[in-house]
Amino acid sequence: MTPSQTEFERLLAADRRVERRLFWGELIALACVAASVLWTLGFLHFRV
Amino acid sequence: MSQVEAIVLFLLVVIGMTPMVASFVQFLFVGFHSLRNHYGSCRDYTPRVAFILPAWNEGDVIASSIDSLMSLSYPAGAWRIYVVDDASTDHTPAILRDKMQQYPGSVFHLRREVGGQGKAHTLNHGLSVVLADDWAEAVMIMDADVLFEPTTLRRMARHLADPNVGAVTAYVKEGSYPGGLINRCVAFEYITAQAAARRAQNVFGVLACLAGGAQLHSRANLVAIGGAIDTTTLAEDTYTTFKTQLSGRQAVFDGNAVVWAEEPDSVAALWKQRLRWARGNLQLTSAFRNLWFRPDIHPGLGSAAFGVLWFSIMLTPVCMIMTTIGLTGLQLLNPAWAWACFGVVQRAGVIVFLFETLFSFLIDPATARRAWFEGFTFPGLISLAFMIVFFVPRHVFPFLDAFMAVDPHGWTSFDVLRQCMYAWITLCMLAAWGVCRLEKAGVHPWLRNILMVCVGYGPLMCAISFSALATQWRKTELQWDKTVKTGKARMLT
Repeated sequence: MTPSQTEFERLLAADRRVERRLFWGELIALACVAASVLWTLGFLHFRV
Repeated sequence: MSQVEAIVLFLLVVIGMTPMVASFVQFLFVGFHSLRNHYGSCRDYTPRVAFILPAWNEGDVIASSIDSLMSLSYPAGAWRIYVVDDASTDHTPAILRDKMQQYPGSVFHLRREVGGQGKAHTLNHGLSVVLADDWAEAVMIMDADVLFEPTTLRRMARHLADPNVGAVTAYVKEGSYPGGLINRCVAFEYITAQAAARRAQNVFGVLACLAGGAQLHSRANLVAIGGAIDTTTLAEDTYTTFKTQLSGRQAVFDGNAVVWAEEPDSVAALWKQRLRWARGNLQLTSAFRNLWFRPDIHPGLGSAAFGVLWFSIMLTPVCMIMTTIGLTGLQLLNPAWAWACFGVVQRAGVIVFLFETLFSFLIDPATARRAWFEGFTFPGLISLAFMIVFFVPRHVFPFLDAFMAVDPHGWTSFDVLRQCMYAWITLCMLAAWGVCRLEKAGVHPWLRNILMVCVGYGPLMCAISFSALATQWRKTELQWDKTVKTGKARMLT
């Protein structure tokens, strides 16, 4: 918190950081799922 | 003829997947909340707020609630607490007398001599007093056991700086300490049902429910919706949410404004609470029957997307039964078709399960640390085992064939097991009901917990939804019946 930041600004900045984290988190979660799907497909392919 | 039957059965399976697809799509929009939210319209706004706490025999919890409210980070003198004592017969009045002395001018005791009519009637008594003078610029409707984090009110109030916003709700977290298995299941469920789903609803611009545990209304909004809470349904909080949005104001969820509440820790108590909620939502569906799929009445609530989401949640148990019927019918017509359809359902199920579970852990890491096991076992160990069996059948079936002597009509263990998989989609609800009955019969909690983990919390919720549909269909009377709170809630920060 910078000295000039009010309580309102501090909370808003913190909450916006959380929302940004969720945005990137969603992308990571989607990537994990996509990777697991591809891995499963590959696993099934090589198993056959 | 068999082609027509096959198409009908195939359609049953496809329609049965609607809740899963709707849930997945809703989750996809959660991340977009960083791009489309209401924070841009927030201002440093701290209106005078009247808290209304309905209390009927809340002696074990009311003191800590008031203490948490008196620790808010908010301008001094800008909030008051009105406890509406609904003719309590325990030590609630004595505690309130103490708190009024401890916090003079901030805590008010409103006594109803004849109570027991339910939360909505109790709230209306408080609203009539609060709205009678012009001190309050905003009103917080909450439950008597809810604990507010110091910054929660400030986080909620900033949204009311925008006159287009009528009401704001917070993220209600399960805070029982020490918490049991059911508490942790609820904690995980609330990440998905609140922290995730309501962020997505913010993105859509329409909110399904302002949590009854913490909803902050502007005075103008309360006046616009009639100055009172609806008393005709069991879902008064959702009714208020709809009325707010139909009156032209926005309802906003702030996932960073957190309150803590104690939720039931037995299957039977949870069943009772959720049955009331589900019955209330069914009553509400009927009360707003002219609204559904009518964007001309309200662009958000009447949109096709919101309608599909609303009905898919409500009709999830019907969809599950349709899936089982479709797959079983296809199995009789052509087992290969049934297996192919089941393959689509299972693959989609695994993707949705993995994505929603992992992302939920990211949304609320603190709750995930506490309830990761309950998150992973949300569908139940039996359903998870079927997922694994589906993906590695050739490793499992020879093993089963060696142990299962079922071949009277040419059925292999593969046939038997896949029929079990199709049936389990519906039978899991019956099994969840069985767990509830066993608990009521007095089985030991550890056995109840093992059975619960095997059957799954998700199927339990579906079983309760099915029960609500059945009892509503039969028009069985359901009275307001409050959830007993014991004072276990803590702020688990």
